[in-house]
Amino acid sequence: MADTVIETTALRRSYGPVDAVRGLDLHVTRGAICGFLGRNGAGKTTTMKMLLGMTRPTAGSAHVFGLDAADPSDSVTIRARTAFVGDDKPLYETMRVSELIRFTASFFPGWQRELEDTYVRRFELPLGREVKKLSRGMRTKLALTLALCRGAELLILDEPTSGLDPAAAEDVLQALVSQVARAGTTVFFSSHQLAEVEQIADEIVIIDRGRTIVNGPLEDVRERFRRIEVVFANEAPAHAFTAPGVVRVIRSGRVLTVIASANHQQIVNDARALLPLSTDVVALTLKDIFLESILTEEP
Amino acid sequence: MLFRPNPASGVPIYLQLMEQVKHSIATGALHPGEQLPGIRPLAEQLVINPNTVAKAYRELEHEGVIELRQGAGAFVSANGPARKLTDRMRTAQAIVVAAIDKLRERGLTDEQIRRLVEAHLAGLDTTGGQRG
Amino acid sequence: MKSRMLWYKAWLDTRWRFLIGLVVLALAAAGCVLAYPRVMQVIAAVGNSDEAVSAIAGSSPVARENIALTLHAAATYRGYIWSQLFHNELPQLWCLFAIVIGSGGILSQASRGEGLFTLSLPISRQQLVMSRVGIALIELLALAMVPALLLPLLSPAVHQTYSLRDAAVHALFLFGGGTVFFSAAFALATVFEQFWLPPLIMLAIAAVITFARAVAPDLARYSVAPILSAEGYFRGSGWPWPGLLAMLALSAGFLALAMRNVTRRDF
Repeated sequence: MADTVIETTALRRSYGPVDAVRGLDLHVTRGAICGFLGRNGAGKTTTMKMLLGMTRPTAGSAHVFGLDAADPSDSVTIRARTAFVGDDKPLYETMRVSELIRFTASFFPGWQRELEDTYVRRFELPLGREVKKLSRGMRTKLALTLALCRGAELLILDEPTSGLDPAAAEDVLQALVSQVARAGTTVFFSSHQLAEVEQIADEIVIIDRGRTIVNGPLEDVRERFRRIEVVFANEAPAHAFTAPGVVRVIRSGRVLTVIASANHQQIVNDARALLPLSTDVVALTLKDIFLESILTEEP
Repeated sequence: MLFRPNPASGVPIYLQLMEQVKHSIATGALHPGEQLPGIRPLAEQLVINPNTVAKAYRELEHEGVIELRQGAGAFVSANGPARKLTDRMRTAQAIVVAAIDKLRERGLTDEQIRRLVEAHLAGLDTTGGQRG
Repeated sequence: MKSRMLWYKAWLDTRWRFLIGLVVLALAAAGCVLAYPRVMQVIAAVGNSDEAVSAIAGSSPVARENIALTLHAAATYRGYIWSQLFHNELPQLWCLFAIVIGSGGILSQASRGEGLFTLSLPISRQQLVMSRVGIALIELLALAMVPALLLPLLSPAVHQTYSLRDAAVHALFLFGGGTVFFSAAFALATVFEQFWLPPLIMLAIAAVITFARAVAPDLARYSVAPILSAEGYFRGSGWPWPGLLAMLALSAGFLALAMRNVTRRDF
C-alpha cells in the first residue's frame, strides 16, 4: 500500500450522549489531494481537530505521518510538519499582517522567505493593515500564505474557499495545486463546493453521521457509481436485487431506476432477466454520488 | 493551447487531457518532437491536480503518442507508430463527427446521443439478449 | 522548540492591563509621598486623642481602625508610608491587577478563534501555560517593585528619606504573598470561557470571607493581609515567613491545577 499520511481506525468522539464521530476509518495517501465531504455536522471539523491534537478521541486511533495524534509530544511533531486552516480562518486579530507573518515564521525553521514574498505579491496582502480589518477573501489568502510558507508536508484545510468569490476561490485552488506540484505536499480539505473537489482532488472521503461512507481514489469512485434505468412495457416489477452494490431502487410507473455503487454489470444482468424494453447505464456526477451515499446511511 | 477540462462532464479529467493533446497533434498545433508543457506549469495553468497531468502524460507515453525524457520533460513522439495512431484517431474522429451530425439532423439531443453511445459500449442495446 | 514568540504574544495580550496598573500604582505611591506634608498638618491640627478619632471616623469600625492606625503610625514617616501604602492602598490595588491580569487567557481566546490558531502551532500545552504565567509573574513583580522603588526616589521631595531595604522587602512580600490571587484567577480562567467570571467569582469569595470574619473574628488570625504588608517586619516583631511560604505553596497549587486543566482540555 502506498505511503499513508493520515490514517484513522474506529475513531470515535463523543460529547456526552452525542457522538460527533462514531467509528471512523479513513486513509489519505501521501502526495494526494483528498476532498473530505459530508453534511454540516457530519463530523468533519471534529475529525480534523483530533488529527491536530486539539481534541482527544474518546476511542479509536488517529495517526499522522505514522505518529499518534493523541500523544501530546507526537502531536507537537505532527504540527511542526502540518498546516491547519480552520473554517473561520483563525488568526490574531490585533496584529498587523506583517507582524503575524513574522510571528508564524518564527516557529518554523523551514520557513520559505521567497515563497512568502511571492504570495504577498500575488495575493496583494496589505502588510501594514490589522488582521481584523481584512476582508474575508484577504483573510483566507493570508491564512493560506501562513500555511503554505512553513514547508509543511501536509495541509489540513476546513472549507478553504467558503465565502469567496469565484476568482478568489480559483486563486486558492491554484495555490494549492502549485504547492502539490512543487513540493509533493499532501492536501486534506473539506468543501461543500463539489465542483472544486472534482477539479483538483484525486482522492475523496465522504462521511455521514460520524462514519465513513466512501474512501478512495476519485476516479475509482466515479467508475463504480452508475445509474441504471430499466424501462418496461408495462408497470415496472418490484424486484429485489440480490447483487451487492445496490444503493437505492426507485420504482416510478414503467421505469425502474437502480443506483449502484459497485458491480453494475451484474446488476444489469439481473435487470435484463426481467425482460425490459431498454436498459441505460449512466455515470453519476460527484454531487449525485454524494447525495446518494449519504441518503442510504441508517441512523 | 490547452483548455480547461470540464470536471463535471462525466469523462475523467486525464482522458480529456489526453484527448486534447492528441487533438493538438492531429490539427498540427503540436509538431512531432515539440516539447509539451511541464507537469507543474500545466497543472497550475489549468488548476487541476498535478497527479492527473502526470497520469495523462504516462498514458500518452504508453500509447506512444509522447516521450517522457528523464529530467528534460515531455515531447511529442517523432516516430511512425505515434503518427499512425493519430492518423487512425483522426479518421475515427471523422466517422464519429459524421454520425453525431447525422443523429442531430434527425432531432436527437446530445444527451440522447451520449446515452446511446454509453449503452452500446456497455453492451446493453440488445434488449434482454446476450452481450455480442 | 523555541517559544520566545509565545512570550511575546502573552506580553501583547496583557500589556495594556499591565501598563495601566503600573501607572495607577506608581501614582498611588507618588501621591502618598507627596501628600505627607498636608497630612501632617491635618494631624497636628486635630491631635491624637480618642475624641479626635471619633470625630473623624464616626461610628464605622473600619474607618476608626484606619484612622487610629494612621495617627499612631504617623509618628514616623516610615510608619506613615506603611499604614497608607503597604498596609492599605498597594495590596488592594496590586491584588486587583493580579486578578485582572490572571483572567482572560487561552479559553476566552479560543472562543474567539485566536486560541485555535495558537493550538495549531507546534507548541506543547505546557509551553503555552508557562509563557503566560512567566510573563504575568514578571509583570506582577514590576507592579510591586516600581511603586516601592519610587519611595526612596521621591521622599527627598518632602524632606524625608525612605530606606531602599524597606522598599525591597515590602515589594517582595507583596509579590510573594499576593501571587496567590493571580494564580487563583488564572486557574479559574482555565475553567470558564468568559473573561469576567474569574474576577466575579473571586469577588464573591472575598465577600464570603469578609462575612465569615465579621461573624467569627477568630478567623482574622488567618488573614493574608499581614503577609502582604509584611507587618511583622515593619513592627520588628518577626518576618512572616511561614505565611509567605504557605501563600507561595497555595499559589503553586493553583498554577499546577491550571496546567493540568489546559493540558487535558479538548478545544
